[in-house]
Amino acid sequence: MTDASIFIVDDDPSLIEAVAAVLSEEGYRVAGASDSRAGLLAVLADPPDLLVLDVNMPGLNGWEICDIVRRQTTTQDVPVLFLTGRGEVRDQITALQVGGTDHLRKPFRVEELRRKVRALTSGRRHKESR
Amino acid sequence: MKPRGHRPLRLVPPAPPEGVAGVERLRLERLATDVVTGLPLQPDPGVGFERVAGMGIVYLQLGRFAGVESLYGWELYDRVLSLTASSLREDLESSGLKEQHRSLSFNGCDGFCLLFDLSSRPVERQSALLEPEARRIRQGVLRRLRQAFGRIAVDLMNVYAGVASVADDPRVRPSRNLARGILEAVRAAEAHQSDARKGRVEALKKVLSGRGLRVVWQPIYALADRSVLGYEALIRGAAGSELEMPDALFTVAREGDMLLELENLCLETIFSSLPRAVRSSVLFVNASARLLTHPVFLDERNLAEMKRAHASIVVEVSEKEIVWNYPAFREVLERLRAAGFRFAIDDTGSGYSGLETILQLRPEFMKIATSIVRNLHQDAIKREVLASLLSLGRQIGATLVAEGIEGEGELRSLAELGIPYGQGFLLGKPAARISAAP
Repeated sequence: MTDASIFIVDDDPSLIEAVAAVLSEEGYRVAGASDSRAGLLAVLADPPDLLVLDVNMPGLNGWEICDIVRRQTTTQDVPVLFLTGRGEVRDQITALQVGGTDHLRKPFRVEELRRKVRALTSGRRHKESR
Repeated sequence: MKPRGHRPLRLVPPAPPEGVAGVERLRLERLATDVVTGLPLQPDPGVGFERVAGMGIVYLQLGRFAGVESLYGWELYDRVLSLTASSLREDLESSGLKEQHRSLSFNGCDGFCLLFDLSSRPVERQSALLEPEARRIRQGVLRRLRQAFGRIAVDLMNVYAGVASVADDPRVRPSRNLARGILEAVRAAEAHQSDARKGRVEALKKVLSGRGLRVVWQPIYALADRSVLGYEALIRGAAGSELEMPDALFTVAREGDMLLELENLCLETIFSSLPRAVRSSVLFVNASARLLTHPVFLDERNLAEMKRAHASIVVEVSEKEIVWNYPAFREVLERLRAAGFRFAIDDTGSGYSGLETILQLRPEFMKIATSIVRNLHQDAIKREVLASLLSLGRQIGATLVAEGIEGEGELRSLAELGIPYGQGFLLGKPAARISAAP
């Protein structure tokens, strides 16, 4: 049973709820925002153990959020899992370039989500290389 | 034990106006600072832009050549930049002009600007102060880059410094006066670079006229049983020379507009010296899109001659080249295949093309970019990329070859993912002679 906190930013509230339902059942403390700016501010105010980001969002996109999070000393080591509908290799590379840790393509299977979240929240993460 | 399934979801309400303003500030910060070097993207004279007369400028230019980052990838170039930035910081600490130093900024791609307030010094003394400082700082960067990266392309490992002073001219608005001074320092750095370039082009001409190339062979192994699939032919210039490595040769050839001549000599050198072990396995040769689309290369007699020299040839073309030459490529492929050649996309996954290109060209081999293989075992996203490529390869019948394998962890990870073939220093270094056993 885990106590890790997870923050989800996705402009689709039903997706936040669905992901939260799966993860809170595992014991994670889950919070989320469908407004990307509010999500960024909440993450900076109270860094979670894992940040889950959609890519395409109005306001700020997931890549921008990740880049900003990586620049702040309080959040630079927070693992970031990208949820995205895009399947292109180029987009996966962009996720890497902005400092993303892992990537999950929508639609995903619940088991896949559980597995990745577990891997990303287990133990202290090794530090980002930059 | 905590209760299961009863944790409520906390949803954050939309950001209030002051929150939105805060986010805008972060966005502006993002635009003002380079994330890799941590340096400001604008020079700040430190005294406002109103008093810039007597400001001394040292401009440091990394070998400016657009091909460098595409050759080695953004990850390596990120490391070059952050090492350069930290070298500059370190050398500024020990600088005789430390008291005068006002600002260190980055132009966003390949230039670093250092400002020193020399207004208390007489103008005619300024360059005598700046020149030795510029030399010291340049040497510091060069030394650290060469320590960290060894000998990669000459252009990447070259750094040029230029100096200038801001004139005292009350007719000119100070901010523009400073900008002009910086431009003058940039031009001085570029003049040094252009001299160095001319010297290298001359050196390449000598290599071409003296047929001064040699071939080394790197084995490609089946990862399951370590049997040899074939060899990749790699070109080298004279050992110990600035033009020893192919990247250096090709960088200079591009500068001097001698690419086709160089490539022709490469192929001649390879086919005139095939060792027995290479003749009895698959031969991988590199070619540029430009060469492949050239009528002389595509000439049936030329192709037939190569086929006579070797029965099983795979032509490797880099993914990034294909993207720019896509329409011309399909016809070329048809002719190559008709002549009995197979085709490999090199540097697959380096981020230049989508899966679409691969799907359209249906290569027989996909050679996975070193940037994907490097530290694969520690990087979930890279494994994800590789799994996508593997599944694509299965669909179109392309065989995957991982390049640049250097560590046991990488090798294990590749085997776990089911990548059938690989090459790299861990398995076998490129060598002029081929020994019998791996």
